Amino acid sequence: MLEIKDLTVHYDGAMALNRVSLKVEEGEFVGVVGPNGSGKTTLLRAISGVLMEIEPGKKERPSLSGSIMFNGKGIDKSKAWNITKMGVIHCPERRRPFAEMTTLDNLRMGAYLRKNRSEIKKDLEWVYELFPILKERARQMSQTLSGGEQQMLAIGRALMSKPKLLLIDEPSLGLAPLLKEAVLKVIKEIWRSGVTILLVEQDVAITLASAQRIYILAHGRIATQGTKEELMKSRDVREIYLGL
Amino acid sequence: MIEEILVYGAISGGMYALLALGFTLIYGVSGVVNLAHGSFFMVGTYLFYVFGISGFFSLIPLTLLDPTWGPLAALILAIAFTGVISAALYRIIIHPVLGDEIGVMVVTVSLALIIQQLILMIFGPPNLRINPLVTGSKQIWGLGVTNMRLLAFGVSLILFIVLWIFTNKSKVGNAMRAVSQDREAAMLMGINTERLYMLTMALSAMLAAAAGVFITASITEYAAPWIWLHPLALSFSIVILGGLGSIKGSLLGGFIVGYAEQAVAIGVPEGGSIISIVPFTVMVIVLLLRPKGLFGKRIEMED
Ligand SMILES: Nc1ncnc2c1ncn2[C@@H]1O[C@H](COP(=O)(O)OP(=O)(O)O)[C@@H](O)[C@H]1O
Ligand SMILES: [Mg+2]
Repeated sequence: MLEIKDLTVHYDGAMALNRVSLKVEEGEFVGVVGPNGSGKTTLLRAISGVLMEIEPGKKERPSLSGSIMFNGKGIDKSKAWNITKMGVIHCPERRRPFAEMTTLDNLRMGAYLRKNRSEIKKDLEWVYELFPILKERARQMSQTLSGGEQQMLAIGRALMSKPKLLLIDEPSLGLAPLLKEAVLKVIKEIWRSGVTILLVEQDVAITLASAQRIYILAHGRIATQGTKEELMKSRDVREIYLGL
Repeated sequence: MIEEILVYGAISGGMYALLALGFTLIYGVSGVVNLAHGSFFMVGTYLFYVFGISGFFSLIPLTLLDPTWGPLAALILAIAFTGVISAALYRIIIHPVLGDEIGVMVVTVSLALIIQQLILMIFGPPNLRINPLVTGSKQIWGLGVTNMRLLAFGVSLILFIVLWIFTNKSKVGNAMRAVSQDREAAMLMGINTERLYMLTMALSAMLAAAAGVFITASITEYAAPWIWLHPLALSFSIVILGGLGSIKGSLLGGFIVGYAEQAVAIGVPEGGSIISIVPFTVMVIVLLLRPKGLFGKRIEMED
């Protein structure tokens, strides 16, 4: 479904990703773990296309080489909004809700490109089922939500975009252990409903506990990859990258 | 005297608010500080002159059916054409330098000067009289207020409401709010920011054009190739005193400056001659009291 080959990204001279190659098959749950600054966010932003968009006040655009294919089509030169249209939905790091909109309006923004009202309504009910607290907070400004609630909102908003491939950036960031578990459980449930998932995380335990296949990212390079069992077999991998 | 300040302040305040709303809108959505904003005020006015006053319509039999539709048709055409022109200019010359804030200012100020020269070449330097769209007047608190000025005030109120509904209820309006709150997240929702910036520029310029026609037809009564400068200074000072990117701030700021100008013009001896420094003076006073402006909370896009 997603195939990345030799993806290299430089920010104003500094290399953030170094010949990264990675594959996600339809229906898979793939994880990428790596410490802070290893390039996880850059990877997802490159896939969803926001990395290369022109923004006011952003003079230097990063440079990107290599290829990103989604369902056989090259998307590395596509506009972010067209990539969203294809069903590649990116749930960004630090949640980024629209602060001065209500929870419900945030969820509606997720469905920005969709027309079918009854389907949108069905998905809204699904999101409320997954995260009942969002229904209680529906009329509340999103900036007044707690960190955990904002994370749920970000995931809910992404679901409202009807993802085929869902990219999730550090959903556990800043959450209490119990809340992490709860969010992870929902991500698994979303996966089971048929959405392909690419999760990037600093939290090794969370990734090992959920992904079928895991890439280890270090200093912008893929150090190794495999299933949990495969990775755990190597002592080096366990000690150097997983800290176990 | 108080009555005069209240009535005339409200009339110019409403129009100033519209003008400033346009300036704040394009800044809030696309980050463009559009130094050609006043030029769209002027372009709108000249287009209104072309369509409504120069006899253009005598070429087109349509409006000969009922002469009262002439000014209205001219108004709508002037505003629509300004929108189209501004969107095209945005796409061709502003968008390519969007990433560079200084570049945007250089490009837009150049644009303003080019438009001034073009208008000078086409229409020449003399003042062109802009006739009111409606005639007659009414008594308000013992003041004779022209119907044209009342119309201008009514139109500004109606446009505030339309704009409020548009930004809060329409799909494009929601997209604008989303982009101004978090540009990257908005793109992830599938919002085509390129197209949205263009649309916002058109809307912004159309507000300036409307303000241009109504202000010249009701208050200043003439058009000249330099009537972009005062509106630009007004927009700039109102938007800064109201708080960059704040719609509420521009609305309130417009009225504050409108009233302040009238207070100086009417209440101060020889006030009319110093009226042009009023907007900046008010801005400085507000900034001294509240450095971020009235509703200042700069929309930061940084992580
Ligand atoms: N917008 C940016 N401009 C310049 N450098 C950046 C930018 N974003 C990230 N970087 C750099 O790229 C590297 C990878 O960052 P990032 O992708 O955010 O890693 P992670 O998400 O794994 O923490 C880091 O060295 C970071 O400093
Ligand atoms: Mg990150």
